[in-house]
Amino acid sequence: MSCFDRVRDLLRFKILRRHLAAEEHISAFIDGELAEDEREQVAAQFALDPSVQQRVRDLRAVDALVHQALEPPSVPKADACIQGALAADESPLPSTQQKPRVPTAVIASVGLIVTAGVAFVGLRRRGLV
Amino acid sequence: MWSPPCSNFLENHQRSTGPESVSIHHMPGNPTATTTPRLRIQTAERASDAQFVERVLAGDQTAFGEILRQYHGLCYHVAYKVLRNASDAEEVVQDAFIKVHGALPEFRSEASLKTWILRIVWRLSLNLQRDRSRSSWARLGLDGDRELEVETAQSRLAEHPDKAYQAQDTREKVLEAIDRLPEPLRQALVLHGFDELGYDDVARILQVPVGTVCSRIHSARRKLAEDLHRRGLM
Repeated sequence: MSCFDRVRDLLRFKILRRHLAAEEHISAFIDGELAEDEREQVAAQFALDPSVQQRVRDLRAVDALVHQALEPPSVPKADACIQGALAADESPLPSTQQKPRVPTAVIASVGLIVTAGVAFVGLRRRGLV
Repeated sequence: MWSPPCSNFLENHQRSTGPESVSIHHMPGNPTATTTPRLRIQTAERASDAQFVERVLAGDQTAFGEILRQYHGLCYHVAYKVLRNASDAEEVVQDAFIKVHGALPEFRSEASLKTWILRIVWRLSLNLQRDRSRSSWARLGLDGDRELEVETAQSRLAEHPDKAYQAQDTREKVLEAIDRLPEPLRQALVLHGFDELGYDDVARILQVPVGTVCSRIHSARRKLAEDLHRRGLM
């Protein structure tokens, strides 16, 4: 690959990246998520460039269709749900202090001592100790 | 070093209004925002979150009820958008509120109570969606709410047969198009579109950077636009 090709690829990449960034700005613009300077920049593009206006229209049309498709037919009253949760609320809140737990090492030691004891008694009965 | 296009606006926004502030929507001078369909559901103000939690932890049942009442609508909408089933959404919201009660001592006041609760709703919704998709009833299309939807659609058909059929057909095609989106794009799209949830809130719920949310929402819209164009819906 020649030096010229590399420079050309780099320029293409930069142009593509800028294009993508501008595209995402349009979405953020529709959602009112841009900072003031960025918003003014996109608003100026919107006013001057019919292709930007078209893209905004397309994305808004998508929003409208998604909104209609995913909107619940009705929202149930909160009361029943809240009553259910409050009924669970009658149980005391879990304490932030943890219960003292027996360390694993202590349990293992006790198990080892018991096993050794049983083995010792068994061996003694057979007269091996 | 390249940064995602939405990173700048968030930095500016956070500098001016604090990290947990709600995003600016419907800005004057924005020629499109006023007509973009977005849900507007009343939720609690950020400043009162810590006070409410303190009251609940002190044993105030009324405060807990107030929190649930304020977030119920938003939680139900989020659960419904994931599950597309009224009774499943109700079940998830109920379970989430019980979990919220149990986990409130772990809530850190520097976080937003709204996104903390919604993250619980979100996780439970995804879990139930996964369980439902595994059930043989769902595979056969015989889960309970579907029957209710069919009945509702039939009653609408009886009133205005042409319009209702067309609307139902469009809805099904749009839902199919949404289902064809890659999972991360679909998730961002589902959480997007609420007046109460800015990109920064969606980022906290999904636990991804804000720039990622911005690019996922845009990609989801663009892919949907292409798909819906091909199907003659736009």
